[in-house]
Amino acid sequence: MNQPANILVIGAGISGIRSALDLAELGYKVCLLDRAPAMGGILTRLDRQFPNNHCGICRMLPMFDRDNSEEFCLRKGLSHENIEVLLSTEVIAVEGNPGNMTVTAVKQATGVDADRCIGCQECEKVCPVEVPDTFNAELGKRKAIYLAVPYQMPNQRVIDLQACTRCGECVKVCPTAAIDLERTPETLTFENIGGVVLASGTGLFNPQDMDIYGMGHFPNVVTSSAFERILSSSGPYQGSLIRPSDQHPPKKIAWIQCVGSRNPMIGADYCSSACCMISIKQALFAKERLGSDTQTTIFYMDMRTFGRDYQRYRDQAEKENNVAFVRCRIHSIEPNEEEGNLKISYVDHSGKPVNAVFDMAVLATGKDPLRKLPDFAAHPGIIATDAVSEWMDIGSSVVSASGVSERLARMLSSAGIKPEKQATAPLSDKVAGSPHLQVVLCSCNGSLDKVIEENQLAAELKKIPGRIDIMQAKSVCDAEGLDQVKEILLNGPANRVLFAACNAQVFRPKLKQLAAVTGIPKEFMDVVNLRGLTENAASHDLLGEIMNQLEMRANRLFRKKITPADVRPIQKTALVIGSGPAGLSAALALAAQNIKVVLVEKKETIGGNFANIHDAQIREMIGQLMDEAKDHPLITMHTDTEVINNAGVAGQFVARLRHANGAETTVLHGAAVIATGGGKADLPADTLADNKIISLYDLEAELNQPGIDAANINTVVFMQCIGSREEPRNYCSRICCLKSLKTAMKLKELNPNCDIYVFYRDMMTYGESEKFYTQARAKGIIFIPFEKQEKPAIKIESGRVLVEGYDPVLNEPVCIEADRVALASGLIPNPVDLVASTFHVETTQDGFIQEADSKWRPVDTGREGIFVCGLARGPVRADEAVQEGKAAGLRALRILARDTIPASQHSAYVRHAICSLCERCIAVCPFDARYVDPDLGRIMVDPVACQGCGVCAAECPNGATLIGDFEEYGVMDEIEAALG
Amino acid sequence: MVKSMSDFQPKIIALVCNWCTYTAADLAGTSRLSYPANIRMIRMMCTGMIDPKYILKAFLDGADGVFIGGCHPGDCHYINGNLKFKKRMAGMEAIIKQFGFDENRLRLRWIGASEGPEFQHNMTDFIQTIQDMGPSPAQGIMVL
Repeated sequence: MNQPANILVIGAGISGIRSALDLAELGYKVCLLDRAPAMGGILTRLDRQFPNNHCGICRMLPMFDRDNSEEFCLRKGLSHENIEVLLSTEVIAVEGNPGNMTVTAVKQATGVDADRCIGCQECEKVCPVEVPDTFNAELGKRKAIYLAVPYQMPNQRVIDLQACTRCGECVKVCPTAAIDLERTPETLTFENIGGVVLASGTGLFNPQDMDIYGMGHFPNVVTSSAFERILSSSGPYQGSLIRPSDQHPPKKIAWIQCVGSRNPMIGADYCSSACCMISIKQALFAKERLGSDTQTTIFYMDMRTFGRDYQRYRDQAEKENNVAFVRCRIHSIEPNEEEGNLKISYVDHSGKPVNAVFDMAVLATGKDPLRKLPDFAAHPGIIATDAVSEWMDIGSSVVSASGVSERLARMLSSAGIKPEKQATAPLSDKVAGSPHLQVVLCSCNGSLDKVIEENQLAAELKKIPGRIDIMQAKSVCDAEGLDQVKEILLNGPANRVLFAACNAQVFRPKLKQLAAVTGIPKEFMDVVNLRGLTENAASHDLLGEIMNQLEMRANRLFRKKITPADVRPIQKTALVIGSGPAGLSAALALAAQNIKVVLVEKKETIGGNFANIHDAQIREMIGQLMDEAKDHPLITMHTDTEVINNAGVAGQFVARLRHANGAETTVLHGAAVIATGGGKADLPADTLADNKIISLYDLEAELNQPGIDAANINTVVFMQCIGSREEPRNYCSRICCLKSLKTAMKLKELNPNCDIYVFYRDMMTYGESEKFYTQARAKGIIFIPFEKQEKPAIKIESGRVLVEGYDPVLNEPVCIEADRVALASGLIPNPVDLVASTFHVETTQDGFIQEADSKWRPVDTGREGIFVCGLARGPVRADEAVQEGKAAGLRALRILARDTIPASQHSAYVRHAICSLCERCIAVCPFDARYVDPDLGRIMVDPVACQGCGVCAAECPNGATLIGDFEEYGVMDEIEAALG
Repeated sequence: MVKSMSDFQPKIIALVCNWCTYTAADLAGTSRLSYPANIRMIRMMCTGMIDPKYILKAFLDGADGVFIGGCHPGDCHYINGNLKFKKRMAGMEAIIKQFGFDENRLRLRWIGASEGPEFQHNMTDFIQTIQDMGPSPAQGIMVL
């Protein structure tokens, strides 16, 4: 990074990475800080995520202009041209105003010079100090000098200076003199900072802090994050699911929910939102690893499976995998007589007390109630992600982070701060000439001399066909060594460089520096990990091994070509379909960045469900969005209009609109946001047999009538999940529980004597909305849980409406005569068939638009340039719809803010002369990136959508399609060299 | 020249996915999980880009075994490239057999990014299998 940062992002977990990438992709220079010595936060400790049990972190990486970032697993770290990552660094003070802030941070001394450390691990081998391994929840040991995260690249060590005895053994063995135990913390000052994103997370509750459930006393009581580590291959037991006390596989495992959450006694009057799903996932993995006869029991108060696909996940766990769910808050865990086992007493569904013995217990922990926001958090110019105040799942964190990026980008553009155009270093004239390779052999300060004879290696290298120069360097890690290389590249004939040095990812930042100075593109440079190869010293033929690698890479470099830049103008107009809170937010996000927006609404009026919303706060929020959008000069609104056709590729679409009068218009646009929304689900006709039985929406409307007299409403029963959370509508609608609570409290306000009963399956008051649940109970509202198969019955007897249910607390049947029965019918999406077929996007079985990835790319669709947000994607509250709209707007902005989008290096291209137009490549392309140009009669590749996966090339029967940098002749050469 | 079994050091080509198995290999390296040095690893962006030609080429050029390492189903960075390769795999086994190579010399495994120990285990196991099978019939017979 040459220019100083415009933006600081504090916290390099999921939210921080998302936000940093968003802003970097818009062209801003971002500095991503974390006080930990490695990035990734909690993310690095999770292997697989619900609700599909897959991993997909890499899907957060940029999808186009991919050459700006390294394409590798995000567990290793993040590398982007516009992002500087600063670890072990903590912000201590913020001054100034948005647009011009000064931020002071302290970079802790890690004892290791990151510029010199080559990750050789010699220090770790000799370090005599062993401490509990914090990465693995203290279930194993690590040295005082260690790698903070095992996947981390560059794999530079840090010293735990508190544990370090300053014995100096590491200093003696370090081949690059990278260790300095006397280093002191450094104060860093960042000036001219436009804005700051606070994404420092909520921390993770440690039950030991409050001595809960024997944590810290009983080895087989672990937290859910420790259990994640136990499941992980990179964990303390290499992925064997064994319990800590005796390293035996457990046969009976208990999960205890809400540890440190939903507990006002400890200041935790919130729900941590993700723990229920995490426990289900862990139970499923336990069954998968240890066999289906493993007994897994989840003790819960409410299973909060409120995400779109979560209820089915739970049902499957319960029915198909026999995960047991017991609704009971566990009082305590007692040690059992048997070594290491744990006794849990509870009351089962039928009211019987049970004493169960488990081999292991997992405490589902979430947000840390002790965690406080930094003092500067409220400083103007700092925008915090929701994930600093609420613990949330990955998908929500990602949406929130992109929402914050949008706000920050808006703040910067209103302060007149624009991303600077990237100055690309001019290419050296030499590059166009015939290949001439410079090989640089690094001796790593002489330490490699012991294992390999470099002269011999040089002699062998000369045998490789092609023009090769060889240079031997003492060390290319330091400035002196690198300067020598620069000198040779600037003045010599070589136009390609191959380093035989150390780990490629450690070395890669240096290649960028070199490229900037020498005009040789970094794609024309490569690194062979000589040090890594020599560490396999047991090898029978070390020289042969090294030569193989060098020859493989040399051949690849000889084949490199400069691909002409594909200049493709971007149509700087966005098409937004739907004008509810999601669509309006997306439109305003884009218009704020000077993008023209065409807003299409099927109905006569804008605002989505505005007419049906009674909550004053939400009405005001949406009303404001409507006013802003109506007045915005860049937003053109078409009501009574539908999109009937859309063709083209990201950046250059053509859409056809049809208006109510039958007239049609054409819109040229670069990206589309689908926000077609949804609305209340109708109640089955047979449920409304009496006018006292109404929908929750109707009761809400009734109570919000001006001058309402509720004196005659003395007993009200709320019934949740009518038609929701069971097939065919097997998803939680997310809004009903909170709406019932708010309506019930409104009723109590109007008529304090009113008796209110809420029959519910699981109260879905996730996150901060838990507080409403606490308040409602304090107000005397009675909550009675029921199971799906034992629904309360509504009976009408001589004009009286009776609700018959079963109260598990009283352990007896209850019958309530009600003045009103309010049925929570939930939400359904508006029909999406037309929009889905018009934009070629997938739908879910419930009729929502399918996003590309519910966790990592929640507002993208499978097609680049088409985004989705709000109720069209799944049930959301209005405020969540706004966040999604902002996030979708920002995703579209990445495309629309550019003038052109260059093709990335690893992209497909077609040799038309040998293409037979069989179109097999079109059929197999997972990104819809290929199409036939009917005028040219050629297969075309959309460089924005193409991700360079190479499936087309492998399937092409003629070898007509090639992938940049992975051309088949290059791979064939490599195979030949490898076997040579 | 026929080598005796004891000093038979098989040559193995591993075509591995950049996103998962390649990360696992790095992790095995940094975790000091050693495996025999007979593997020549070639990084692919995705197993989906592995052209059947590459496998044939490796065998015909004298590889004793070809190992393919991809992402677990569902984890693919490119949605389903790994499964597209899996489809090709059945055909590949039949084809290499026709060329006279035992189909067990070709192996496909899913190894996730965090699965360093699995990577080590798979490599050791595959090398053992190939060692037990002996040198590929291509060596000394075919010149291509």
